[in-house]
Amino acid sequence: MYTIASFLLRTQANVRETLKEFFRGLMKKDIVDLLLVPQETSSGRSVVYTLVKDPNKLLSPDPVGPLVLVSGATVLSNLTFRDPGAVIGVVLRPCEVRAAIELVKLGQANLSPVLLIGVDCLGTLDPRVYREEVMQTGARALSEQWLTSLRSGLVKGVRSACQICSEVASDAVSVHIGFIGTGPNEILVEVKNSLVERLREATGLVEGTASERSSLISWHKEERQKVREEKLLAWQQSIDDLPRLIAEFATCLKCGNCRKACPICYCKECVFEGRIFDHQSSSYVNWATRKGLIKMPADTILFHLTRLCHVGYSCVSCGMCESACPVGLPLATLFPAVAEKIQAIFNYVPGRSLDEVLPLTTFKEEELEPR
Amino acid sequence: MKQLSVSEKRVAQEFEPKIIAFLCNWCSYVGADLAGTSRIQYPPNIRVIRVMCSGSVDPLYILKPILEGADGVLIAGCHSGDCHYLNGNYKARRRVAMVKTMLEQFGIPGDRIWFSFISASEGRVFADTVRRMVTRLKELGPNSMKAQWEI
Repeated sequence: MYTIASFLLRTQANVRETLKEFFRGLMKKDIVDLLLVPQETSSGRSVVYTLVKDPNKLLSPDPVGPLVLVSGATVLSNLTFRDPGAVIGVVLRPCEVRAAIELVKLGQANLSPVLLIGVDCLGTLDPRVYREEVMQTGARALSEQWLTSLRSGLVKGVRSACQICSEVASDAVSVHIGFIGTGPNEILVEVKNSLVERLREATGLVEGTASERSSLISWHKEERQKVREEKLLAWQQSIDDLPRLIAEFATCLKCGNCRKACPICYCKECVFEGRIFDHQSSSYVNWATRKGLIKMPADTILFHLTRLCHVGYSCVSCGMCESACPVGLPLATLFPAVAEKIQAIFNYVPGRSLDEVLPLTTFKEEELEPR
Repeated sequence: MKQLSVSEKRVAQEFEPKIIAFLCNWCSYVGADLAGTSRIQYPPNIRVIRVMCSGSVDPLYILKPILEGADGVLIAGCHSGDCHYLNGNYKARRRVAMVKTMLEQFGIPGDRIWFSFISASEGRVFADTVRRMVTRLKELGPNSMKAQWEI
């Protein structure tokens, strides 16, 4: 475990300006060559990931805005799958950090050219809800409101995945930017000790802590953990046979958005979109003959169950699948509810540490009692 | 005389479970072969698919027959330390445990899916495994997914 030093950034004009100077400092002092950070779009109606090379083009960093369209872990994988030849600072939320750790273990990302910068997160909005809100207020005002809620530790209307997420701050990062429990004119910055001197020189940090922070965070953890246990148990008890699952997923249109949005589901060509499922016409006729009738398109439930097996052990409950689903299937409950049971067999917690080996790539000589 | 449809005929007869078996090329498939050449009797409820390693059986290939209405799936590989690919059999054991856990959440008994270590010399073990599996599947009754078309 690293020792962590805690600092405060005093905000001058506003938080965005302060963060801009902080991030620019990192780039100008060559702590990072590039920065992957969410920024407000020029339309003022969205917040998207940007890869910044020129510090002067870093204009509106917004790691607080309650919107994640694509998991930062997916972007990180794109950037580091092959050596980028530069050090990239990557600003991620806790669920994205967990997914990034899983992707490293799956051989799809590399953290050695990366400086991980975590941010506090109490949840984000469903993209549809975000769009409605942003059309009224604009992205900047929405982010400012959100920041105020974040400081007090109270947010409303977050996605169902976020409602059951108890990890509000990741400790697997080198630098962490915190807002929960901070005063109106400050930002908390926690730094791994090895980085302290360089960072201080680059960004004007002053020593300090946020007094109410730890109690607010542990209160949140407890509350969310309680909600999670109740919600998942209720789901496990209500959807306890295949006909009920089939009923719950009756409106699946097999678009595959959930797998495209999932940071863990990394295959370039999914088995469900390859030749294996490119069936002969005669096969459909045979199946219809055997059962009397079949649903078309076929294999929607097979798709979800297979995905549960393929990514279940590494599922970090980020809920990107549910946000991407055009018919709002309760994927952010299905996956954690089943993944929890799968992960329990192997006593595995995804995204916790790079040192924990993926459960399906390892084994014990004697376990699980063969038949 | 009225022509019975395929499904009506099936109901009319006594329940005979249908098992899809994935047998590893190096051990279990040879074991099954030995059972045959040794004239060891075992129930004919099994449909064998030869695979190069039990570790190559993706969950998809276990789930598809179960959703299609097969009554059981058997995955058999080499004994501890005998895997032709070092440790595919151990990884298969973990994968099968995972699939079983998931299916149990959805009301499919874990006992529909069996994982066994059967070596090339164990014709008798193979026959015995099939016999025990058929007995257990008869207790469980037919897989209800047989009649389910919305999969």
